[in-house]
Amino acid sequence: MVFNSIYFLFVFLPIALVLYYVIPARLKNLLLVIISFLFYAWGSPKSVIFLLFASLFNYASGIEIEHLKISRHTDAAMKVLIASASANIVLLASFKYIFDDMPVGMSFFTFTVLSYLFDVYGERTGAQRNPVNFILYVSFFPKLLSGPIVQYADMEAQLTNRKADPDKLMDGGVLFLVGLGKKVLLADALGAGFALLGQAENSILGAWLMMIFYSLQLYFDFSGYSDMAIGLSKMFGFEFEKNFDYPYMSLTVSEFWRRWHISLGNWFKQYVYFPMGGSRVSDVLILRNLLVVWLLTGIWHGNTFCFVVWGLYHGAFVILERFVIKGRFDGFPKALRRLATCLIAGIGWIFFFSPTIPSALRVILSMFGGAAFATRTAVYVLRSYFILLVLSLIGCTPFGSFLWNRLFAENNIGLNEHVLAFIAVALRLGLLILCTASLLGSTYTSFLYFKF
Amino acid sequence: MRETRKRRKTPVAPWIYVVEALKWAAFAALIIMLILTKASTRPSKTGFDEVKAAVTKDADLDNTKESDMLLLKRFYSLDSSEYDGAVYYSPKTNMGAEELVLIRLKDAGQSEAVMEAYNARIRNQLSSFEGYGVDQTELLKNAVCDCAGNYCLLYVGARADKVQSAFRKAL
Repeated sequence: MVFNSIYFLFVFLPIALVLYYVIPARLKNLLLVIISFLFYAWGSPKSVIFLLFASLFNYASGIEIEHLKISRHTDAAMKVLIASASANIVLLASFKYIFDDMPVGMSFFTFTVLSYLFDVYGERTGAQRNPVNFILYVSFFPKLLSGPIVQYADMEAQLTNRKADPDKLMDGGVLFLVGLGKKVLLADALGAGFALLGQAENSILGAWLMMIFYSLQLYFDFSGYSDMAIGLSKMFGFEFEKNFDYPYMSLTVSEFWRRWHISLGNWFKQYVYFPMGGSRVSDVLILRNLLVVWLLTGIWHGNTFCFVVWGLYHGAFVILERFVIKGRFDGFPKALRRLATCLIAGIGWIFFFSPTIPSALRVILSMFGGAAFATRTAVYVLRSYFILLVLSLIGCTPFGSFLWNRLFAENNIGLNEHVLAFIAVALRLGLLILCTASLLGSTYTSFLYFKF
Repeated sequence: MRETRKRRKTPVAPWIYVVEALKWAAFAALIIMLILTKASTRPSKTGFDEVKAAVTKDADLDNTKESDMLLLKRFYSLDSSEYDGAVYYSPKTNMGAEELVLIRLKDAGQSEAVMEAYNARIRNQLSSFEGYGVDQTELLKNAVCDCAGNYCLLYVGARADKVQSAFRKAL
């Protein structure tokens, strides 16, 4: 099941919430596990078997590692950690790269359980003895399919001690709605424009539009999903950090990666970069550490060479900024630096959406003059989608949030409080109606990050 | 003295061996499941012409014509030379929504890109017909996009269920 379906919005979610809020506290986690398994089973029942067995495997590994560490068999604990982590990685690699039949969310699941095993071994936290709590950590349905990748140490306390109240329900609901709007009203519409461009012959305008449309579609698709996941979690009392922070406003590529898919960046930092020494080693070792992290980031995303190139491409810019540029452009106008960062990220996305390196290079070549200026399709798409494009570009900035705060949180227009509250509710209701109408009138569209 | 005591190993509890055994039993079950899944999606040995005959037999292709592969490239961005076989029945007129594409993949890894191209085409056609082409919209909403083994089928037209089952049966 997916969040952007009528059935989820108007049947599954309301029933889940009502049940969650009426049952006794001691049964809430069990209920969430059942709901999560039902959610996962909806699209692919056989994947539930995978989820259950893989969860039990890692639950047992955690207990084993903790016991061996407590009884001072550190070498044995390390062996169990290596064997268990390898088993998880072998499973992921088999599904992803050999069998090509990966259950949705498996990459996220694997990183989630690896976080648990590393945290237990590193004594950042204790092993989870309660199987229901453990299975809830790995299978909690809002984050199961596409993250955010919540580290065990950050969720452990919330598994037994969290509060779900009407305020959280409301805040979570609003965040979910914003995410739904990003996905249904912006990402899907941009996706239709991108599909049209894909059918056109190459041209300079077409290639630029392809890059811009995909950059925007991917952002609204994935950040929309993340908003929905974090909002849903909040409705059930869980608090997770944001996964996107206006990445296209970044001044450098390094900053872009601190704002894009934040939970994945933190994961690599915590479990790969820091254990290798992070930045507290010689320049040569920092270089090695950065290359390893970016290579792994690329490989995590997909099984084609394009993803490896994409990962190393970004790694190269991060390394350049650290060792060569060293803030030399800090005096340049911010708008120019933002534009340059967006261009670098946008060219990177071309490797993301292209099936092969030559096809990616063809698009890049077309962008810089290797084709006719424009085709009829490219002009048609620009005209038809111009307003959407402008709205989407504005949506990438904090302008909307700034405006909302000025009007509603700070009440700068001096309206009566009740009137203001009424307008805010009416606007949100309007957004829900628009999203519902859009969902009813279209066929199902998946999330781009499901395939990773 | 205290430091020495702190570092001393204590015996491993016997139940840990049971946990270890159960854990690897769960992993073995996962691997078996993986192999069984793989076996069920193994490439079909049925020839391209045979599968083509099976799906076109039940399909309503009156409003379509068998087209050259340039149209497949234009409408789907799929290069037929990258596959073991491909056939495209395109709509005869701009007002037609009926079409059929059958592709034999070179490897299973191509299925994702083909399905994406199929879905993009359906989405695009839907946005073209939405609002005025009621019949076409209905056909598009019931379109078949299916990959099984090394074959991928897209069919928009009457008797979609029948065509899909003929496709599956032929593999």
